[in-house]
Amino acid sequence: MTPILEAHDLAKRYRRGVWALAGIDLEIPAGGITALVGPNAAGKSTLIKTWVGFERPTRGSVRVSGIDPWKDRAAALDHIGYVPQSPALYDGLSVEDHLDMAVLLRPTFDRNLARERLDQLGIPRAAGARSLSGGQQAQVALAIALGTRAEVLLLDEPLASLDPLARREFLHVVTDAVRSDGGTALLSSHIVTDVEQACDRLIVLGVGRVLLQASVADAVATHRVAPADEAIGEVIATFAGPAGERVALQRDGDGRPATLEEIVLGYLASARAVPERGQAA
Amino acid sequence: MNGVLHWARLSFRLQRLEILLLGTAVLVSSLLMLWWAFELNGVAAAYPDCAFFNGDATGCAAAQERFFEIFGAAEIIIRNTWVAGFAVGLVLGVPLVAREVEHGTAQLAWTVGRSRIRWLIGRVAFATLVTVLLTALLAVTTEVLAAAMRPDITTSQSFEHYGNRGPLIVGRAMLGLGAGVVVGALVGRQLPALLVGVFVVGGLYAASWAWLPLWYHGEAEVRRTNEWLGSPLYIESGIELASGERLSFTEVFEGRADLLDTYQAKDGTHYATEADAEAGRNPLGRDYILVIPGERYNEIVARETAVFTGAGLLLIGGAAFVTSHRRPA
Repeated sequence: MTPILEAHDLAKRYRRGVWALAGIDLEIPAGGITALVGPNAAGKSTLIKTWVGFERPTRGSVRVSGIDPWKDRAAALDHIGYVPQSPALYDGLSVEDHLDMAVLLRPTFDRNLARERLDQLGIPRAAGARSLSGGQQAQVALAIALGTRAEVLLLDEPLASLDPLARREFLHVVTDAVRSDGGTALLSSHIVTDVEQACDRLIVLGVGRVLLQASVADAVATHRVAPADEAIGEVIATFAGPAGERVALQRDGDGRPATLEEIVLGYLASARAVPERGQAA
Repeated sequence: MNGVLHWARLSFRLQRLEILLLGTAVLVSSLLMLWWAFELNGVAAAYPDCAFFNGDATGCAAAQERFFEIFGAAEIIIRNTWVAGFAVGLVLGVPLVAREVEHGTAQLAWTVGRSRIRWLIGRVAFATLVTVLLTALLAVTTEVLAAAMRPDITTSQSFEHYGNRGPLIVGRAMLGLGAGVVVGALVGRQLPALLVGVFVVGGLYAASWAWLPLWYHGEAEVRRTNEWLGSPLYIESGIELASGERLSFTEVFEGRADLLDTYQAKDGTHYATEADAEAGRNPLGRDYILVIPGERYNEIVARETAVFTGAGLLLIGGAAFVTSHRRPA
């Protein structure tokens, strides 16, 4: 499959000298939902922002549908619908005003699609953005991103500030949109349980590196968990289990099938052995 | 056309607070100035034989008292209208990018829209329209008031209240707008950007005062100290030596202080001794003043307005560069 999002040897260092990304190689194929999971400060937002053209790579390159956003940002943005971490809307505008603005900024914006999505969720379009709940604001931002009819949705931790019901509704809309339109979504989160039911693929990011990149089905099929002292397969890492006991995540080998959360925890634990980003880069 | 109106409506909503505050301030001060102008014209019309400046005031005490009572109040406001242009421009310019960055809405606008430059042009165009409309109102009302304050002169041919009336206010507003937009884009936060903007505009204004006399120096006319007529624009004063060389008073203080220790006749001619002065022989030099005559007022104002507006547009160009390269949050 042709990758719709690519990163090649991507490294990003901020002015204060911290490496947010330390040499990432990624290819995300078109279609389906990819979860980008990692702890806070793993570099998830930075990675997404380089695709949007908000962050310039210190080294390496990124591409959206084959276009480098730092060479042709306008063309790259044609392929992107973006929902930022905190969906900041204009306080002084109503929801409908936001759609009007989107039409003026992007003449191909599908206002009817956005309206349909908002109406389905019962979000009053005449309401001022300031009067909406956090979940509703996130839904408005998502409706605008969907209205762009972009090939790929980049969702930068949109669930972080939402209550459980709003999270579920948000994920439902994303899943429905991607499944019905055959689009692609990259959904970042630091909580794997938020996204595991919606995603087809999983990328685990830690200390600025890709720790795992696989389809959810493959990841679950090829990883097992066993007590740390009984593991006999290729041990990825050991970490504390629910009761405080040490468990080992291993590729194949004995033990019970690993949950997606355990897979992520295991890979994040493995990253502790990786040198710090400043040194690695 | 429909799109333009939609954009104007949305832009107004995004800057409603600033526009309403500035609009109210400009409207109130304009009405006040028109009222004072009306009152001054009324006094002047009621006492057509009274000269309020440079003339015989016999029998005009009551008229003069009333005239200068209003004049004093009007002068307080007209002397400070030079600030108004800068203030209007800055207050409308700073939030254009800074607020978007500060509130995070730039992330929405800059990804839904393909071009940040196009987005900025749209925002700046509306802010420019409002800036020009508000300051044009001030330009007109200050001209009306200035004319009423000096019924004895033709204000279109005089530098009386120069810089505090007419289209220069609009030009300065454009400079303030440009500075506001570029500083807002650089700083990315409204209040700090406003404070920095005040210093930037203050610096540019001070620089213009230092630079404009140099610009006008070559085209200024020489007047004698007793020929200060018609409210010209003062450029420089000094002593013209007998050789024809002109030394400004700054140069005199710095290098020819001996010229200050001389005998000076009423016409401004310097002599080495009192006897020479009385005899009118061996003049050392004569005081001069370099001025732009009042007849050139309109030309000078048009030129300076164009310079300020051009500088403002250049700064807006700089803001476009910064906006297209900066992070949205």
